[in-house]
Amino acid sequence: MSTMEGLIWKDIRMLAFYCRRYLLIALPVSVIFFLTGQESIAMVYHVIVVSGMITTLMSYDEKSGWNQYCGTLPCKAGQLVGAKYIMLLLLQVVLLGILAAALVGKNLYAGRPFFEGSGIFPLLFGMSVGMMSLILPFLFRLGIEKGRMAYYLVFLVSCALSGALVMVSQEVKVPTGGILGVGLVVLYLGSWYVSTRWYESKEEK
Amino acid sequence: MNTIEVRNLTKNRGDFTLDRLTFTLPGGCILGLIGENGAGKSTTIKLLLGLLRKDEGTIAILGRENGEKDTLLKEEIGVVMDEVGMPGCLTPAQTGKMMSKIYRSWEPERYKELIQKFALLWDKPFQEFSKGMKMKQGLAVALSHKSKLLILDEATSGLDPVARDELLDILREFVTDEEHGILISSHIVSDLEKLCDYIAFLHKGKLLLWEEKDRLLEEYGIFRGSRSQLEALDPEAVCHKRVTPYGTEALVLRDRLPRGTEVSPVSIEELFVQLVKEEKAE
Repeated sequence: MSTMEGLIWKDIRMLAFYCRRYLLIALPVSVIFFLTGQESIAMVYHVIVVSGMITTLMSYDEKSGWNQYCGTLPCKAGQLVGAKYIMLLLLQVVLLGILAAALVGKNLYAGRPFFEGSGIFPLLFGMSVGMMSLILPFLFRLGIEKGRMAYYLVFLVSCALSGALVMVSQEVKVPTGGILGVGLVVLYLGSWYVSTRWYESKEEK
Repeated sequence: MNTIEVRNLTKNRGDFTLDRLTFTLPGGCILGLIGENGAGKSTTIKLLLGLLRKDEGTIAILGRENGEKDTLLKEEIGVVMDEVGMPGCLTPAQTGKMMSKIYRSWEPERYKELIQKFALLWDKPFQEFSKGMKMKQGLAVALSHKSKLLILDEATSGLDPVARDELLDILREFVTDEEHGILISSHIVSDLEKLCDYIAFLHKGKLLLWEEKDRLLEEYGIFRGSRSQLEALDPEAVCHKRVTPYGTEALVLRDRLPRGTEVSPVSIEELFVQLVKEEKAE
């Protein structure tokens, strides 16, 4: 666990160093979309911000030769991969936490119940974790440069699917939140497993 | 105990093959891996560290066979690669904090002492360091977790002469312990000549020779004389010859020459160049 802690600590430092401007610009914009009722744009925006940060971390790891160096340290491939999956969840906590604070502030100002309109949060969480779970195995397998195509492809397919889901949900009964939640957990853990296997099987890191 | 034992190590990488390498590194010794660019030095090191998968052969490190993936074993190996690979934004202080979580046997005081010794700024990000400073940072980490084996891939190449000399002292001190060993690859042969107990010459993926350095220097010499004098020598004694406008020069095996033949000492660099040329001529 301690090794993993070291890897996550490193990623947090990198995030603070390389993504601070990203955060400074992205967060206010995200909050504005969210508070002005443009939830669907806020959702896409949240997905872009999260995936952008994770891929930035991976890109710097690749460019600096960290991935190769890490192979000489007492770290397992699963730990290196796992650090990114845990970062994905930590980012959700931070970013959604900020959005929740903004929502509570807005509700307080308007004299409405604290968490009114918070129903979108599971969707924001699900969309970005789900999409990154689909993308990450390709990024670990192909590297950032070659994996970029997979990134765009999964992003477009996810947008199309979510659009279709919204249309279908008006006519057909879609699975309830519980089933979708279980599906998301399975997707996340399955993705972690596949990424670890694919990364282990890759020779030149 | 041997710190490294390699038997018939083979790896095919498309247009390059590392061909049945066999060598050992006894405890308390330094082995210099010498070879021109593309000879297979880095491939050998990556195979030892499990960064590449071998096709054939066995590798035993610190007595443990095929333990390249063994994370516990990696606690005992300090590595500095040509590209050091630290995250660019981390300062030495932050790197130390990260490594203290990664290595069980991390020695913070030793690390601090080395960072000071190498005159690295505690709060300067790694990406702002010069190549030599990056190497020093890598070395400070490699020497701060009670490692028994150091593997250095071109680690001296970015250092200025004073820093190189300091590094050589640190490495000599490291192998005063009989359980320790160092494998160092470089194309700056003069550094390895000063430092190493054993020398391995790699050329186009093949091990031309692996021998104790002092024995090599005793075994080989440079003969200088006229063409007729050279032709009078036992052809078996002449490894490689070169005709110049002023006479001939040949790499020779001293014990195959008639007594009294005048032979100059050969440097490891000359020996390597001559052996590679001989190989190319064949």
